[in-house]
Amino acid sequence: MDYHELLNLSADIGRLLLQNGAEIYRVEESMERIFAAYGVSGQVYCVPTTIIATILTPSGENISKSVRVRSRGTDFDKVMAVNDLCRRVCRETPAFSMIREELSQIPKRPVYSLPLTCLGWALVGSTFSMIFGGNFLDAACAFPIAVVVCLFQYLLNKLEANQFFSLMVESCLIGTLAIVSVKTGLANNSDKVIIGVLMNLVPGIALTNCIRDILAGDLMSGVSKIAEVFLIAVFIALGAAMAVYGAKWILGI
Amino acid sequence: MDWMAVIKDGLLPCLYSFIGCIGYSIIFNIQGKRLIPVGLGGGISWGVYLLCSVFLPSAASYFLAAVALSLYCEIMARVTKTPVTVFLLIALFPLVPGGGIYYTMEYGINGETEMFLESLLSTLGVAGSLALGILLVSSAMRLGMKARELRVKKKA
Repeated sequence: MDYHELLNLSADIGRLLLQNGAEIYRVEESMERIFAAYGVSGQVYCVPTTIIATILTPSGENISKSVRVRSRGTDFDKVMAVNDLCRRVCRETPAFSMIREELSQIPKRPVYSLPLTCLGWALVGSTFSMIFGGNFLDAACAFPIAVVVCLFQYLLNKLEANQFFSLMVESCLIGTLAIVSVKTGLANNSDKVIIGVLMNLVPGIALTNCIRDILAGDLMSGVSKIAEVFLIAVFIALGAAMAVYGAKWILGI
Repeated sequence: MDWMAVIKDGLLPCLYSFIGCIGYSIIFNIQGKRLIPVGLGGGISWGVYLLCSVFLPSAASYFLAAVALSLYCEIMARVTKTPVTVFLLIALFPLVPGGGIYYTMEYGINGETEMFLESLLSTLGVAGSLALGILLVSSAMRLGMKARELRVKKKA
């Protein structure tokens, strides 16, 4: 058996999981199970930005590999696909070339088009502005604002802007647009519009993930994700503050 | 009981939450038949929160909503053979204190220190009770799974 290829394959599986927003224990467990399925003992250490895996071959040789993960997003479809593949690999232990073939198909899986993603943002923005007590006018204003912010985020991602910087700018844009729409009489409560659209930016995923990481005993990852949650919250608040503060002192609203 | 008020303040927000969670599912790329159960989770979490908040303080309501939601997610994950996180991460969104973050910021700008601290603490409290709720259910589930595993092993 080609142990180097085994290590490379499982590292690729781990990398795909981590990049698409799986929890730390899922990454570690998936990789270790693959090693076990092929009868090799292996150790995996994973933090949100790195995977380190070492296997001990039957001939007593240690092979190690580290993977640096720089960009992380959330794509549950890919997480589920990799998870399914991993289960199948553990059950059937197929030939490596077959796993490699299936693995290369996963990044090509369908994603929602940009207009549909904008619709998702708009649905979230308008429904949450009503949940937080806004009226139909506020929701109707949140809808186009969310679309604009979604397009803006798409642009910032294309330019590979820093995550925290783009959150702050987007949050400021939301605040400005909401205040303008209230000032022109389109909406009634600027705060409801802002909060509704802001729900697209809040660190919900990171919050839940860090709870689950700590629960699973991955303290390093859990603590670093708590820091991420706080940073995101602070930057969102800063951005909205810039808009509200600016409106107050420049326009005197 | 005023049924119109129940529908307006109780059922409609759940419906909004349902639609909102489908919006999140689109953003985070959940395809096809899983959209509806994920959206339902959002409706359930907000419904339980609203129901509890009639009788209980907000931290307790958030805790109970998180417990109910986690239970729902654990069950649905097994029914649809999907990782629990997929359900949990999205359906939890309605409970994430976005309003708390915003109002904390607003009080901070306006220099209302007392309100700022109060709002900050209650936002942290909400995050804490959500954490506690999730932690409780998934630990209990893990215990149950382990117990079953041991029993099966004993029989074999």
